[in-house]
Amino acid sequence: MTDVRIWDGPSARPPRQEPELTRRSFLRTGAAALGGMAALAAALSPLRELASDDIPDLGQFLQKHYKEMTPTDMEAALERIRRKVEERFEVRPHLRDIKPMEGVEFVYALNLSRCIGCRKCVHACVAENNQSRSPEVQYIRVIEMPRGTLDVERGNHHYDRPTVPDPNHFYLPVQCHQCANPPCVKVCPVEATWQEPDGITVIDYDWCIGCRYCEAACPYWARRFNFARPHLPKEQLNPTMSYLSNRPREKGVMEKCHFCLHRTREGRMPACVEICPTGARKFGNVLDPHSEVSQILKTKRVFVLKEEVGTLPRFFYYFDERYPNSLDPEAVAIAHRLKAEEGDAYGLPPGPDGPRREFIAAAQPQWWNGGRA
Amino acid sequence: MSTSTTVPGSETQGRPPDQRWLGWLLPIGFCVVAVGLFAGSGGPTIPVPPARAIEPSALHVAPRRTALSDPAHIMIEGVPQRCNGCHQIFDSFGTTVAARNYHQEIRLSHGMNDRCVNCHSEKDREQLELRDGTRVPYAQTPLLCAQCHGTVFRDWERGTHGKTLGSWVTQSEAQRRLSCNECHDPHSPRYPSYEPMPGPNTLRMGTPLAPSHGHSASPLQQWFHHSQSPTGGQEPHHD
Repeated sequence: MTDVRIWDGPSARPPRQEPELTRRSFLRTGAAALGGMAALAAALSPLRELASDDIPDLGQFLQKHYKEMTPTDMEAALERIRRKVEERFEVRPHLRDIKPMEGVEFVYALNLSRCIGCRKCVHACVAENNQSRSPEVQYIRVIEMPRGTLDVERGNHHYDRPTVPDPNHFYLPVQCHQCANPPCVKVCPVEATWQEPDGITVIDYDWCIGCRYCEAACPYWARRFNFARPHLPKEQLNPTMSYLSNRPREKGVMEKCHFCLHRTREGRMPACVEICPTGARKFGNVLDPHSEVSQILKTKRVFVLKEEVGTLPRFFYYFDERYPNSLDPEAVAIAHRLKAEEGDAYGLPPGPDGPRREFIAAAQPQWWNGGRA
Repeated sequence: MSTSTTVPGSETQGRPPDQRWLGWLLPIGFCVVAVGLFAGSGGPTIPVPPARAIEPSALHVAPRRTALSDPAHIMIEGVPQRCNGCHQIFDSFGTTVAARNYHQEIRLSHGMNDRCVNCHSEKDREQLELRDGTRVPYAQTPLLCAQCHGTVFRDWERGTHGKTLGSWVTQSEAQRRLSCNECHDPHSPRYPSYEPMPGPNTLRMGTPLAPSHGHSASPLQQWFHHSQSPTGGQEPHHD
């Protein structure tokens, strides 16, 4: 410890010497600088692959956040997007910015007893919302689940059957649940996604930086990232679009289901509800006590996925009563037995006192309790 | 045991002048990084599945079937014919489906309900008949079905069963509730099976059980297995 030196002021610093410029030091410094610049240039070389329209023009670069835009700003932004869509797809789009309706909160209900897993909703959604066709981006996942469990790990996205439904499975479609307590909104570092007054969580595609935090935060795997430049054939573009929903996206931004807000904020049904062949999908305003979804919440035993994570989804599932039908092996066996027992009396029109109650009751499978609790 | 402490600066002072070549390490290192970055730029090429065309007719929104409308008629050789046009002239040969001579196209599979006159009026074939004898037009088919399917009718009235087209706004003129027979064939009411539309081929929608699902794994997983397998990545085909 004897050579611990105590700093005794600037006067003790040795006088600074001018560096001597030798051939050696010149070459070394020059080589270091050149090598550093080469490394920098090589690191930036992926920029060569940028297409010309990947680079934002000045208007897009200076565009404000959606909530900060004045109507004039918005009209300028819409016109810029229209122009870009027209350049790329040779169609003049009907592009608007549609605001939420007063006194409306959207809720979705899905009857798992009626869903047959035909995947029409998936493709109707893709056709409506201008998702990328290659690579494919789909908002709705339909999971084929074994009966008797809700463990999605046991489900299969890739079922490929000649016909659906399969009697041993049920089908669980999952899309954005438009949570009332959305984790994706909390994690967004730039507030590019937020919840609107009508309950729809939207994304400003021009503000998103593509960090994918929201994708990681979503417990329902509902958000989709454009890893590649979205490819959409010109003839398949849906020209009716809005700023926050289905206008064409760029590479590197998130997107997700938005309850087709360009349709629903004008009173129409979302594309997935409209296409559903069985009426398993129900959509409406939960603040209206007479709406279909209000009636479902009142009268059906609804549940949400992953209730324990506290996201408060606006997307409810329910199982309906099952009715005996020819798909049900138990019901078919009982019907055959009755037919044999009844003989000629089987199938006669009901008498004046109505169908024989004991006959009807006997025809039900064991799990059917006649509608009584 | 003493810990050796180095005072910053002491090493430089003690370094012999013949180790100055160490200064070349920096530019050489930069050049190695530059070559590596340039040669390796782009990263792995992940196969992007080609776009698949979906037949637009598959996405046509309409009621599943066209129900009989009032006044009830069917097309015979392209000409609309009222029901009573025949039925007031010709007698029906019995009331069971087995006994019919006409309407052979009707496949009756409605459980125990296998008599024509359980639903159709025997006197007026252009109407339906409830069990109490009330005749209802075809437009009011749900009243007839409700006689047996009470709980479904209750749900249908509330809107929790059945399909609604047009608008979610209650009491909107654009809203249209489909009737029973616009989805179900009354003669064979069980909902038919459908051919499913193609499954996902998206970049991330794979399954954790990739080997057992072989051909259906996500492109990312296929790329991963391709780069791992020594045989050049011929994925075994599973069904």
